[in-house]
Amino acid sequence: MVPLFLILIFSLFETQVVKGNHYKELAFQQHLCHIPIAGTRGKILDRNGSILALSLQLYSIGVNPRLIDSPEKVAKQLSPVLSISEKELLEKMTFRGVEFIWIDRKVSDEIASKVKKLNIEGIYLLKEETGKRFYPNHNLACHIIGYTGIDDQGLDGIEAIYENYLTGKAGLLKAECDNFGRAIPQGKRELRPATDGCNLVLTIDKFIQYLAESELSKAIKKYKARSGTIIVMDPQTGEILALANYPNFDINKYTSTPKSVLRNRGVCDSYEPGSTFKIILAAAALDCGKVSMTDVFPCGNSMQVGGWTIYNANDGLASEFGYENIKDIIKYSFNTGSVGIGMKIGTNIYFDYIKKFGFGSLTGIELPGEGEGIVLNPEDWSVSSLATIAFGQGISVTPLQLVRSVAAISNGGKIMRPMLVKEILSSDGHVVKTFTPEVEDVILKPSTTEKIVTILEEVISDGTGKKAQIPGYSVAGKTGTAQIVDGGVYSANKYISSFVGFVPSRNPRLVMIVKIDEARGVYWGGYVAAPVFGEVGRESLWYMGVPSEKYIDKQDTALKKE
Amino acid sequence: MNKLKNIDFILIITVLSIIIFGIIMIYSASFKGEGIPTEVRRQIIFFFIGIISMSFMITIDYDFWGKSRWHIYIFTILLLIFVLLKGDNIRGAQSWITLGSLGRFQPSELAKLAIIITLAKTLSLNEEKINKINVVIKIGLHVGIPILLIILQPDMGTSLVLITIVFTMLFCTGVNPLYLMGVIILSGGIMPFFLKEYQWKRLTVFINAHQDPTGAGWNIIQSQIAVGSGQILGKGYLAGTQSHLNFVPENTTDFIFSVIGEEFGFIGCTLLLGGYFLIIWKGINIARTAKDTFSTLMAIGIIAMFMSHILENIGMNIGIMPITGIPLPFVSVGGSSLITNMMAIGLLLNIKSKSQRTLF
Repeated sequence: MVPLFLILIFSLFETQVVKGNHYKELAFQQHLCHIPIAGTRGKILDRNGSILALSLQLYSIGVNPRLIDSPEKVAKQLSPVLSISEKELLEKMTFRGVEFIWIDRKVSDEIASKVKKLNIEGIYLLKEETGKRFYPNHNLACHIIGYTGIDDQGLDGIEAIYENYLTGKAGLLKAECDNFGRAIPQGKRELRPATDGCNLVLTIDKFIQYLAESELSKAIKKYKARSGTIIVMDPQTGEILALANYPNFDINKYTSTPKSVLRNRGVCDSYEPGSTFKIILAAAALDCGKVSMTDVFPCGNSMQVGGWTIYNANDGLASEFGYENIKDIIKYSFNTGSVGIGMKIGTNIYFDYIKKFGFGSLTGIELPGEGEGIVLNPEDWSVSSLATIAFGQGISVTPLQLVRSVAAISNGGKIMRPMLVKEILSSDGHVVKTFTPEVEDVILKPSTTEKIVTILEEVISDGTGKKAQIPGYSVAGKTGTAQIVDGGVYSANKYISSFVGFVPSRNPRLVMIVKIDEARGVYWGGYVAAPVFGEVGRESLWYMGVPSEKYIDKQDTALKKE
Repeated sequence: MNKLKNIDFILIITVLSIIIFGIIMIYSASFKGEGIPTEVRRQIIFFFIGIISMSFMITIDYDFWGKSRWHIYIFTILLLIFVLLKGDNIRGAQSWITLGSLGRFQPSELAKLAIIITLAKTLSLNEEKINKINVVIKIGLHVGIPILLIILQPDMGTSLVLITIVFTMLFCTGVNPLYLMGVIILSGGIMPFFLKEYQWKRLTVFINAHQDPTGAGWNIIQSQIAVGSGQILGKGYLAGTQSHLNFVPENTTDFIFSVIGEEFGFIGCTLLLGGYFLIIWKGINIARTAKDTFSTLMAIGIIAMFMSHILENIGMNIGIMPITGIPLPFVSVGGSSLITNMMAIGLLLNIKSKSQRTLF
C-alpha cells in the first residue's frame, strides 16, 4: 500500500513540481487567443485641415464587483453619466463571484471621458475594436467623400478609392480566453498595436464647397428644377475646390438614401452640353488657323443642313446683319453661325480638338464610376452631326470634362489632371504622399486662348452671360441651354441650363461649371445658371483674398498720378 | 456508551473532513457566477443521508450482514438486472435508476459493498477447502454474475474496481495465485471483444494522449495541464483557470482532482493523499485486529475498494492510468458513491469496535 501511495506522490511531484512550469505555459498558451485589432480608420480632411470624415473611438465600460467597496455610492455616481438606472447598476456591482461584467457597450468618447474622470476603482474603460464612422458636416461634400459599410470598409467616393490608405494595419491582441474563445478582461494580455489609417487631405475647400452647395440648391429651389451639379476647380493646378450635386444626402444616413441620389452625377453622368460647347468649337476654329477673328458666317434665324432645319435660340438676340464674326457668334450664341464655323474647319479637325480636350475619355479623377461621355468616331458622323456638335448637341460630356477643358482655355491651353487629394498623412502627421499638379497636355497656342478669353469676357460684359458678372472682377464664360433627349427625341420643354466660366479672366483663380436640369418657367442658362456662378465666384474670391481688379486699376492710376 | 468509546474518531474526522473539502471543491468546479450550484446542494443532502447510513452501519452488528448474505446477494443481482432492463442510459451506460426528485441511484456502487460482504462470508465459510475446484467454481459464479451484469451496462470502471476487490480478497484468503493468474490471462484475452470502441480508445489513449488530442486524449491532456499548472502552491481557491474556463470536462465528477491540483497545488494534493493514506492505514489495522476471518475479509475488501478508486481516479487525472469513469472517494459529486463509501466506513468502524470489545 505504501509503494502505491508513493507512486502517486512521485507522479504528482513530477507533474506539478518538475514539469509545473511547462504545464503552466501550456495552460497559458491554451487560453491565449488571437484577436485582431483594427487600426482606426484615417480621417478625411479638407484642404485647410477641417474634418470631413472621422472614426469615433467607442468605449465599453465594465466592472469588477469584487473591487467595489460601496456599490450604492458608485451606482449613484454612474447612473446619471450612463443613463442607466441605479437599480440595474447596483445589481451588476453586487454580482458575486465574477471578476468582470459589462455595464455598457459602445459608448461615446464623451461619456467615456466622464467615467474616466470619476476614477472609480473597479470600473474599467475598454476601447472597442472598431470605431463608428462619422461625418460631422452631414450632407457636405457627400458625393466626394462617399461612405463606408458596416465593417468600416469604403464603399463609395474617396472612402472607397483610398481604402488602402484609410484603413489601418491590423494589430493583434493575444489575450487569455476561456474554452469558448471569450477574452477574459483581467487576464494576461500581449498587444501588437494596430497602426491607424492615414489621413487624407483633399483639395476641397469646405467653405467653397458649402457656398457651392447652398447656391446650387437655392437656384434649384427657385426655378423648381429637378437636379443640378456644380464643380469649382483651380484652373492653374486642376485641384477641385468644390464638387456638388443636388439632391444630396446625409452621409451618416446613406443607407436610407435612394441609389439615384447616391450617384455622383457630375462625374458619372454625361449630358448634351449645348451652347457651352461653342467654346470648344471656337478654340478649334481659331487654333487650327482656318478661321480668323474677322471671318464672317451667315447667322440667319434658321438654316438647312442635311435635311434638318437648325434654328437660333429664341432668346430675342437676332443677328442684325445676317452675317457675324466668330466673336459675335459666341457672344450671342448663334447656332447657325456655329454651324458655319463647324463646316469651315471640317469633321476631322473638329474631332481631333474634341479628343484633345479630353472628351470621350476619362479625366482620371479619383472617384469611382467616372463616365466618358459619348463622342462618335468621325466615320459615324453625318453632315448633320458636324452641324449639331458645332453647337453642342449630338455629343455627350460630363460636367467634369467640360470644366476641365474650359480650365485649359483659361490657363493658356494646359489640360490639367483633376486633383481631389492634396496629401496623404500618416496618423502621426508625417507626409506619406504628396500630389503635385500634373499638366497632361498643352493643346492650344497662347494666341488662341488669348482670343477666346477676350470673346468669353464679352459674353459676360455684353452677351448672354451678364448675370454671371462679379463686381470688381472680369469674368469670362459661356451660357448654355440644351434640349434634353427624352425618349429618343429632343424634348420641347425640358432643358439643361448651364454656365461655365472662370474668374478673374486674366489670371484665373476659379473655373466653374453650373448645370441645372429641368428648370421650370425661365430655363435660359444665362438666367438660371449664370447667377449661381456670380454668387459663388464673388464670395469665393473674397474668401480667398483675391484682390479686386478695379482696386488694382485704381492703384495703378494713383501711382501714375504720382 | 461503551460502543462510542471504541469508535475511531480520527478515522471519522478524516473522512468527514475530506467530504467537506470535497463539497468545497464541487462548489469551485460548478460555480457559475451566482448562488449555490445544485450539485453542491445535492451533495450536502447526500452527505447527511451518508451520515445516517454510516451511523446505521456502525450500530448494526456485522454478523447480521453475514447471516442475511443471500438476501443481500439476491437483492443486489435483482437491482443489477433491473437497471439493465429499466435503467436510464446516460452517456452510453445503462447504470442509473431514477428515484424521483432525489435524482438517480447507481446500483453498481452499492453492489461493490454488497459483494464485499457476501463474498467475505462465503470465503470465510469455505476457508479450509478454498482451493477445491467446486469451491473455486462456486466463488467464480458468486462474483462473476454481478461483474458480468456491470460489464453489460457497460460500466468498465466499476467492474474493474470490483475485479480488483475480489482478487485482493481471494489472494488474502489463500486462493492459489495460479487460479488468479489464469483468470487474469483469460479475461485479458476476452476483454477486447466486450469493449466498445470508445472504451478501448479511453483505455489505451493515456499511453500517448497526443495521438488524439481533441478526442479521447482531450480529457487527459486538459486535466494534466490543470494539475501541472497548479505547481507547488496552486492558483488559489476559485482561481483555477483551466477548470473555470471550461477546459476540463466532468470537473465535478471524474476530474474533480484536476481542480484540486490546479487550485491547491502539490501541497494540497499531498495533504489530500495524506488523508486517504490515514484512512487506508486505519483500515489495514482494523483488518489486522479484526475478530474473525469474515470481518477481516470485509475490511480488506473495503480497503481494496478505496485503494483502487483513489489510485485509478488520481492516476487518470495525471495521465498515468487509463480513463475509466470512476469517482474519487468522498470528493466527487454523486450520492450513490458517497453513501456507499460512508456505509463502508461505518462497517469498518463496526468491525473495529467489535474487535476491541473482545481484546479488552
